[in-house]
Amino acid sequence: MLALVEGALGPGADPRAAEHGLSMVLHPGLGAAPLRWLALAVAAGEAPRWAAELLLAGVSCLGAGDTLRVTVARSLEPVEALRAERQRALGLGGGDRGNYQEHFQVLCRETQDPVTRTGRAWFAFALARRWAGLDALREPPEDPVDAWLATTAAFLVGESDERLVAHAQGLLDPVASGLPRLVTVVARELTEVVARPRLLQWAHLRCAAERDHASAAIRAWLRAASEAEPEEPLETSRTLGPEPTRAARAAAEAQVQAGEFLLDWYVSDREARSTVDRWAAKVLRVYHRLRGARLLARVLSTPGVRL
Amino acid sequence: MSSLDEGVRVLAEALSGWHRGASPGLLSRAAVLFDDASREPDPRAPVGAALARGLAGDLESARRRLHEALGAHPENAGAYLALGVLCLRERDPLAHAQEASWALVAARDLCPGVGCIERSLAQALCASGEFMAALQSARVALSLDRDDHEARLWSGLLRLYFGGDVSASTVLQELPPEAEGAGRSPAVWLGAVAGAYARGEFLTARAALRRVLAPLRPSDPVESALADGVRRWHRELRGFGPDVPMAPNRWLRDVGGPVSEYARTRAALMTFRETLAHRPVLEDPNGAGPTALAVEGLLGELEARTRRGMLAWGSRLLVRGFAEAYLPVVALLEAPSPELLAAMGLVVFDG
Repeated sequence: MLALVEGALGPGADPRAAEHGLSMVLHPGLGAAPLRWLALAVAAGEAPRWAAELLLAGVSCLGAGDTLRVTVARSLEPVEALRAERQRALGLGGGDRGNYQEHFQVLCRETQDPVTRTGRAWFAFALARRWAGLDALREPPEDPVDAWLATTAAFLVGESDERLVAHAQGLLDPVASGLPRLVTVVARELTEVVARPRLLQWAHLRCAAERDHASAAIRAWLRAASEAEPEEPLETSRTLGPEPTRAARAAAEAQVQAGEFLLDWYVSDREARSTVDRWAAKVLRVYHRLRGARLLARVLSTPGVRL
Repeated sequence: MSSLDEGVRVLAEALSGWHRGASPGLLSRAAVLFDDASREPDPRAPVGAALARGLAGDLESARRRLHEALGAHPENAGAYLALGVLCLRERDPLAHAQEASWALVAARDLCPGVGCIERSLAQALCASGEFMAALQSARVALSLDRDDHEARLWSGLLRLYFGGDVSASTVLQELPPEAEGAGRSPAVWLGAVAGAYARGEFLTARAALRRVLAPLRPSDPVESALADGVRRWHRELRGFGPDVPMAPNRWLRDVGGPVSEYARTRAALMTFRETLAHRPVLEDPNGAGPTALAVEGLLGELEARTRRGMLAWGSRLLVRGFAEAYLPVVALLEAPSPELLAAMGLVVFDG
């Protein structure tokens, strides 16, 4: 894997090597089975942990798509030490096929998990257009790559791109000398991320305006309607049960049938939605490259492991 | 006097003495007389027989007979009207609202320009959730008879909760004393509850609610269930706007207040508009970037769509709920109007 990474991103890199390298991650006949064996060996202490870290780092640095990254992350399930990295690799994606909502559901499955807190907040703000997500991202995350992701959300609301670029540069510094092409690739992708900030902000606001804001009020009404009466209208009357009228039941059922997707995610303005979705895909690609670079820097700090 | 005329006379007598229902003996006699009349090819007889049975509580038999009558005489508007009226007098009118709607639409198409058909259709369409069509029917009924209290009630209710026209609450509050003076039951005060609540007059609303509930005996299981239905609707009305009048800015609070997604999106758009005013966007190679005017348009669109959505959902909850609570109480306390019987053809032709 080290050779593949160096061949694709090192000083004398072949531009086609990244693609070749990624095609060699899975065995043509056995698929991900060798990766699972490696993971089991690491979990059993028969192989060093950095081997599993290197695998995930290499795949991320080379710019693997969602499918390959998720396959590799799932294969590494037995390695408990890589849980946090694996959770992020599994959850933060969706740009390749536009299935962000499914990835968001993966992130929200364990709502209290602090590892994916930034990811959840970023998805909530950038893709589900919930402002609470931006509030959550204002608290700087401990993980530096997550902190970079948080700066992209600030960029989305009109803040300068300087912090975003400087932060990425800082994350790449440890591997910049060994993998100069990784810096070039990330710089090129970052240029696309920060291009046309006002148009991006406009598209995001258009998407936010397209949400079904009325449904929030309906939910509140239905909640309030199910509360007990503060006082009885007739002194002699019996206590009213909590069941709603048929009309309220039908209104609530219609809400349920519309579902979270239609109420919170569906955006009919296709141009605006695709602008934001494409931008999110680019951000996530850079995010995983930066995460890979950071993991790789950790692997390279292991004695005896070098490019 | 023919059996049909006798049946009409007995049915009218039964309805004139309506007190939480008609005398079972009179309704039974009317049904038998209409059955006798059915031996002759008069399409009104099966309608009368079905109506008498339906008013006596046998809706299944009434529906079967009306469907048979419609199979034999599909041009018989009276049968459609009877079917619609009986469906609306059911204990659970929402469950039969669709059937009532199509029957009354057919009756209206066969006999256009009849006020009581339009009024009943407005009720049926409200119960089935077709609010715009219901409003049209209520307005047609009002255009035919400007003193039609029931049409005014439904029109006002739709204007208020579907159209967002707070001025309609005045109509709803002024209507019940007038309607009660014209012989209507205290059930009409439920409209005043809706109107007073929208104006933030909560004590008035509670007083009106007491008037609706007053004739319903808590000891009677049927009437007690109707009273519970009314109170449930009132509880949901409270949920719609707990102790806050339906003032023009009320809906802003309903979408969640200043920290809601709506309010924050709106604030972000306004900030963006200010930014554009100072620094126009020069990023789009096609020159089609956002302008302050485009942001203004989006702000208007956002507000209009949200208001419309809230009104649509609110009316599903409140206008349908009103139909669910109000129609069974009216069916208990009031007989079908003579006007409806005349529209079904159940009148004695003395000329």
